[in-house]
Amino acid sequence: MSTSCRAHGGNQVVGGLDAIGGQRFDSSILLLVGGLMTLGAVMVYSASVTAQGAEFAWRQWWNTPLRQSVFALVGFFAMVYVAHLDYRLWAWERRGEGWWSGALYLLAAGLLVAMLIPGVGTSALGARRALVVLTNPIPLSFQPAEFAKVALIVWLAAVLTRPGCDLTSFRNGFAPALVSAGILIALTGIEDFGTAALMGVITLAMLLLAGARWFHLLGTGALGVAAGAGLLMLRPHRWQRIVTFFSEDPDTSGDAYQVTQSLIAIGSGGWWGRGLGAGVQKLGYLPQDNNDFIFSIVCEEIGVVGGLVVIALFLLLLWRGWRIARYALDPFARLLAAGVTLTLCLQAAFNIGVVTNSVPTKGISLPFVSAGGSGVLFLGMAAGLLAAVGRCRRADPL
Amino acid sequence: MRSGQVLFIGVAVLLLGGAYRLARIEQTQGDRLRGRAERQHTATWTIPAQRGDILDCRGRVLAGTVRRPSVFMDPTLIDDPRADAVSVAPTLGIDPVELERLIWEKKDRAFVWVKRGITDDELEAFNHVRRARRLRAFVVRYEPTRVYPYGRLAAQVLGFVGAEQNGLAGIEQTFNDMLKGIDGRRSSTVDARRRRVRSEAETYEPPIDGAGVVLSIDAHVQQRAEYHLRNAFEEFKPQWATAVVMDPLSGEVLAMVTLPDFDPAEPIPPGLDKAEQETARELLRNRAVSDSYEPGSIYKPFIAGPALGAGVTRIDEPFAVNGPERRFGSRTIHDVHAYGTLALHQVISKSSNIGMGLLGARCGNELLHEFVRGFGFGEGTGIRLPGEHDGLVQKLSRWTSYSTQSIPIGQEIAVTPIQLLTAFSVFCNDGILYRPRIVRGVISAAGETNEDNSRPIEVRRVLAADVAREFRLRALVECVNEGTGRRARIADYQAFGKTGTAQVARPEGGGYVPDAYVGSFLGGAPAEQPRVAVLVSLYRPSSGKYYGGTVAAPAVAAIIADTLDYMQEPPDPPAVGRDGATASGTHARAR
Repeated sequence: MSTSCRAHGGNQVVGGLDAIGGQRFDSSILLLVGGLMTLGAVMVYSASVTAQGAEFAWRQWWNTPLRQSVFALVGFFAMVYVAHLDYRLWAWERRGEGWWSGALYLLAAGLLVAMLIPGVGTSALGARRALVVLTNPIPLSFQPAEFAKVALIVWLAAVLTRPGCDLTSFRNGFAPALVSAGILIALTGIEDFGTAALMGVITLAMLLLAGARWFHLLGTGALGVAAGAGLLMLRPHRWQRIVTFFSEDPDTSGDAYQVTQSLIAIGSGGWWGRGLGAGVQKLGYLPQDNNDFIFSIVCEEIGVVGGLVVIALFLLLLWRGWRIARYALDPFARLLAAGVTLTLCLQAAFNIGVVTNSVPTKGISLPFVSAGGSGVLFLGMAAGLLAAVGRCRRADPL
Repeated sequence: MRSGQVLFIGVAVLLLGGAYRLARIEQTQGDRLRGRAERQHTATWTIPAQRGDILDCRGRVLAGTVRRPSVFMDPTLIDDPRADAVSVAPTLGIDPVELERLIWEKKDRAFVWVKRGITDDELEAFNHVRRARRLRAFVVRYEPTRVYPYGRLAAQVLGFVGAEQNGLAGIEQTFNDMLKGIDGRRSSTVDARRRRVRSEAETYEPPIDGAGVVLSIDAHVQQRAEYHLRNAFEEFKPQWATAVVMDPLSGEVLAMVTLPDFDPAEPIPPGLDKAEQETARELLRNRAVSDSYEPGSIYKPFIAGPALGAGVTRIDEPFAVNGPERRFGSRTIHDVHAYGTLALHQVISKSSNIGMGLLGARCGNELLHEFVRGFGFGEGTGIRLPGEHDGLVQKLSRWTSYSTQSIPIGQEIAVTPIQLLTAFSVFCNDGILYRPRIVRGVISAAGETNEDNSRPIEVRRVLAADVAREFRLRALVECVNEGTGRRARIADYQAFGKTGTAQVARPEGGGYVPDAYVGSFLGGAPAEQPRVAVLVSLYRPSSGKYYGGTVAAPAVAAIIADTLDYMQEPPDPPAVGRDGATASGTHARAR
């Protein structure tokens, strides 16, 4: 692997944009994510098939087969585009910088607040999670939580590596990062507990990676659990999910029904699946079949083996991300790469846990595979950031 | 980066845990989950077998099954309930407002009946509107429905079917298993709303249509018998009346009528109160086999005939009757007229109770009991109709000295109409008791003969041929020509027969219901070689007339005349023409 931006003696390289362009980008990330997106487009297409729907209608067509392919393409090119940019745009290397990541943070917070305003946000399944972008000619909406997730990683990477930041100090380093992250998480958690919990875990992980003190983190963790419990109580149905998960006698309606149907989908596929497109659970038996439970449909149609391939892809992504973080040129890049990698893989692990009835139902999608434009677009951009960091590597891993 | 290592390894472990869990689910629960999926994804539909027809002896359809169009809807497919209701309702003759309300009420059902059983005109109008307006949600489904092309004809014999197309009475009941066939089955993958997903069936067992049952009943004879019985019924107003026509040479029943009758397509009309339902249910009884009564004088041949055979008496042996009354022990027997001396054939033709009492005394109980059992009274004939009654014949040990005079005049026993006519056929066919048959055979839907029942079944020889013939030609012919049965004379054929006027025994036993009679007549023709035997009984006529020779004999004559005419039996007018013969003949011809 030839690189021109060779690190000097393990020290941080500081230079212009030119200094960074040795390797065009880390193609392994693009390949892995592209593969997952392709699988997603195919599986969502398959899951969107209904017994009815032989008649052609533009709206219907948009709603089902075509949309995810368009999203996957847009997400893929967004990823490639971001991978070409200089990631240091987002960094906070000198005093007085950090405008871009700050703007990202404020935009995310603003969108989350806007979503809470009745009439602006649209509600689905009892939660207000989307902002309507278009209704004509095609319905299009946008999920601020997906954006906030990525914005938080970038913001934290920037703020934790800013000059003069001393994480061993509570006042100077730890507290500002934690409070700013906490505000974003809380705004997300009002409507989307699963994403908020994921963001909380990622925040703790990034603080840990940046060198925060153990006892600070432990205290924060305890506080986070308390805050999480508070958010759970905010919506009775969330509490119900937890109760359902731990109850001895699962009722067959509601959440337990969903998980039961998910298991039936997984089990009925066998090792090799019923064949692509031949699934039956998607015909009204499994709610959220193309969204949070797309993994069940993957298992039903291409088998447990197909499911294992998906997990293997995320494991590869984890491994490549870990390498990129270790060989990153500077602390910002390292933290950014680690944050993105952990977010993507932890979300995948969460989702698979829900689908296999290992953790309570949370409403967390499978990155790049589940239906939905916002997720594919912003997680694609996050993967682009990871690839961008991977363009330059130092000689010796940190 | 130690902390980083820990985090990344932690996430890797979580993902690997997911993989492990996945494999475990497949390994430990795979089969169970596949079974559950199979059950919830598969729906099975029944393909009803077509119920077999009931045919008369000439292949006329007495009961058949048609596929009746009905309209159902899938309200989930309806976008505009008002518009659809306004389009569809008028074609089916229902209220649009009502239909719209139904659509809203059943909005999330996929199957709701709109109207069951529509006419051809409604079907045409509906199909036209459905095509023009593209009403996908409304569908015509054809349902099997039992039809009886001859209406009420032979209703009690045929029986009827219930809502599930199972026979609940008559032939429909006894032959239900053969008639209904075996339903087919089709299973297919369905979505969560039980709609078929794949067009090809996963399993398919074709239905096996029901077999056809061929009766010995002839629709034409049945119609004529019913016509003449109805005339008698309307004239003499009995509680009920029955007429049975038999081919005495084979035991085949050609007609079996019970009045009043019912509509087998709707045996219990809807909207009746409890008492009315009870009345309607009474009409379902096939009285010819299910009801028994004391026969009275009509029973006399069944004692006198075998008494001849046993050599106890001769056909022209004179009996010193010396009526009109006579004491037998502590009991007094009456005759209607005061006779002096009567030959045995006159005892029968004039129906002398005293003469029969004298004959009874000469036979004794033991021989009388043998005669009774010999004709098959006291046991079912085995005609294969549901609810057949055995009649009532007491054990010999329970007979008393009263029985010696009661039995010869048809008291102390109860018989069914079919038993009477079956026994009477012995005199017509020169001595053989045949089992009566109403089913000639069963033919499968594929045309194979499942059951051949067309041969006569001989139970036993009851009388020697010459004894039966002598009794018929001397006693029974005389009864018609110059005895109590003169109203049964027929212009073109020499008829024979016996009258009977019985009192109705109290159901609780001990004596008779005052002024309650059963007027009956057993007849046949031509006397030289009988081709047809007929019984008509009127139970408790209320018009004031009740003698069997008055209320039943004319109907028997008319039925015989029509039947022989239909059979193209060459006319063979009676040798002895007497007064009234012409009148009776006119009556028979009158139709």
